[in-house]
Amino acid sequence: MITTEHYLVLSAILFTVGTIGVLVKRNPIVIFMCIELMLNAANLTLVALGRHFGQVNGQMYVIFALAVAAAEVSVGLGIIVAIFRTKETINIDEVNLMKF
Amino acid sequence: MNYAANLMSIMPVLIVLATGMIVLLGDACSAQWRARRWYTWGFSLFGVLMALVQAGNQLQTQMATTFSETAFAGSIVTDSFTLTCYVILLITALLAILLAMTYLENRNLNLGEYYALVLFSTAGGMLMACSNDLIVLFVSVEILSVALYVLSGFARTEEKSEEAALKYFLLGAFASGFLLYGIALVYGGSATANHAGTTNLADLNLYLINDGRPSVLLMCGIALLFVGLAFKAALVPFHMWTPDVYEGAPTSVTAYMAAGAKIGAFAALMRVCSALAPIGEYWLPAVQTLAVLTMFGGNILAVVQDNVKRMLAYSSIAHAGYLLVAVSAASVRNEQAHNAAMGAMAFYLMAYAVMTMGAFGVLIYLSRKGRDLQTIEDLRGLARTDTFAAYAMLVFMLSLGGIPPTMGFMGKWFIFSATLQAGQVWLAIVMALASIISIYYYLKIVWMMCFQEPERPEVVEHAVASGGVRATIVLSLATMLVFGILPGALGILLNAAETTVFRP
Amino acid sequence: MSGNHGDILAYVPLLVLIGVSTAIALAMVVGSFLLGPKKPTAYKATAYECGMTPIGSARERFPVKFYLIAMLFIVFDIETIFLYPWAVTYRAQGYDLKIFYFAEMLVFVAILFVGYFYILGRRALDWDESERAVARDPISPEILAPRPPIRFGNEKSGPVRRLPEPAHVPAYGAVSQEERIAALTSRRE
Repeated sequence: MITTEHYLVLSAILFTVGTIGVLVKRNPIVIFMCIELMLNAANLTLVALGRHFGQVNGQMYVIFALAVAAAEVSVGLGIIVAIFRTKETINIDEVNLMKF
Repeated sequence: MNYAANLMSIMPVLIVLATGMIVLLGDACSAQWRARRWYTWGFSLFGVLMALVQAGNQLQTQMATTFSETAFAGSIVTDSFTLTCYVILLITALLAILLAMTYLENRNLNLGEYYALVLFSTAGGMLMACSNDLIVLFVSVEILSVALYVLSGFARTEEKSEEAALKYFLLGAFASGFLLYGIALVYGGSATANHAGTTNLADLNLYLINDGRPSVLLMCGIALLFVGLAFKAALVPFHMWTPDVYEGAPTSVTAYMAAGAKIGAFAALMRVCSALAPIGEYWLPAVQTLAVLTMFGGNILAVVQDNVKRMLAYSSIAHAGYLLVAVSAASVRNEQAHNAAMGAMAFYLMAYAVMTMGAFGVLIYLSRKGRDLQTIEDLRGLARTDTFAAYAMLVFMLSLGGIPPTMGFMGKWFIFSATLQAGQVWLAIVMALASIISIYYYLKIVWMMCFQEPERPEVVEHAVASGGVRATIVLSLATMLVFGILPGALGILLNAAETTVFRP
Repeated sequence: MSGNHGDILAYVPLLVLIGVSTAIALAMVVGSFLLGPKKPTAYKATAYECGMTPIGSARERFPVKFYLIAMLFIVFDIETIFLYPWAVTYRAQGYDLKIFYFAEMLVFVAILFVGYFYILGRRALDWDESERAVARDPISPEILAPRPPIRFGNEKSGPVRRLPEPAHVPAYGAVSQEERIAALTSRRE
């Protein structure tokens, strides 16, 4: 029997994996995928809780979060393409003109 | 409440959004470069003014009836704090648009999207101020930030600008991850045996009043929520992106971002904290720690900067710290102190917006064709070469440093007294100490401008010095001095919190 | 699990739908196989890879337009999911509210169309670069200039070793596709 707790634990694990990925990866595309993982962990929590409470709210929240994530994806890819056009690399270690 | 009334209550937001869309469409569909230039600039100004009039109208009605209404099934609240934030944000947007045109043309960036994006992010900030539901809050935070990601990379062929956009985007999206997960956990954590969880702030407030002990899930959610909002508001230790983004973005964007994003973030923070006030003893120490860290971190790091934009970035972090002190004071269970702190915060936001726009306006005024003003050295002997800019900058620096008779001083004073009223004496003292540090680097600029000989004594032609930039500087100066001397004239701001929906 | 016949009968339309859609798909494939003219050339016989040359280094640079289209697609694609909750609540409303709901959705779609017309106005969907209005807005010449080899983020900084493009491989448009493929194939051998 899979209960709501299972979903919550799974989403917590996904969220942690995503966070760690953001912190250790150097390719912005991969970092961005990790951020998506974090957002989707939150989405999973919302859906599971909405189901648990018998409310439709949780699912609606996820739709909003998805739309927001899609907008972020396109803006992020746009920025990455723009950087690639001028710098010929998107390695995050090489995008560091400005420091403390 | 019928549908028309729902829409009426967010009319200023709708006006701004519609203006943004019309500007975008008109810009893309017209071929005449010269016509587009005036159309986009003029129409955005017109739209913002319309929204300002509408918000002012609503504020007046609001003050007369002291009736705070919720709309869209309780997910949006229109009280005087909301409307005050509308007015402040719209003034910021107005100044940002006034500043932009000639500066952008000098950098070959004058595209209609700029104005549309400024309008969209203003609308996002306004929605943040009126959101009464965490999901609305999330969506409006994203409307604000996605537009700002694009704006900070607006100089799309310049490496610095692109780098700023990438850093801002990655960290901003990271923060939204925390925010959304925090919201999800709050949704789960606010459930009881009989009731489903909620993301509605008013319901959350009621639940916390009736059922004092928060669950572990709720505490985790609140913590993540604060992390997400702290990123957006650039609080130490979540401030890493701020100096880079402020330095890399085109200066007109930096000006708007410094003021607009912070107003939105703090309006949202204030809403969340007011709703969570009944369990203040659990999270207030964290907010106070953040405030102390932010004030000292921002001020100490600002001291060592050579780049004016970076220095202003760190100074904006320090100001976020002062605002956080107001948030902390507003979260006590004492209605009088709560109201005083809300009003002080609204006043300070206004002061901060005006002085930031003014200071960046001077930087734009001084930037030459193809080259931004960058280092503090560039300001050497400015009083000789350009008296107007030098004395305007002098006033803005004094105001940022909190020296009377400017609005910055009055704002700090209001926050200080509200903090004392709330019984957080030590925090008030820390704030005073931190602002003493800040005077050092603001006066360093003044000293460089007024007491140093210029390298080249001739008067320099400023290619960017258009009417719009001058108007911004003069408007900011006037606002700052008038309300610095007569703060009572902004009584609306001081009474902002009288009718908010929350009970502390 | 105990269901009665009514429950199972509710799935019959679904079954019909699956059957009909399978039949239509099959009919299309078989029909075009039987009826379509067949004049194979070397180029047509190669594997189809979304318009890319199927032979050569996998890290060949391809037009950034693909990214642009993909990004635009993501946004418009996701927006349509808002139609589902709308449709669910629409059914439950009375007549006068239905008009209001319909108007709401029209406004939503109109806002989507603002984005679409913006894209059209900006000519983001135009594939033909040569027709592009040059200097409609200043795009610096260095963006349009030819580029050194690509580096991706996943290697420790330093250029990727890449198959050198031999000088005798003709550019697109200079010769027929068949000749170009032949040239590329001979290079690989």
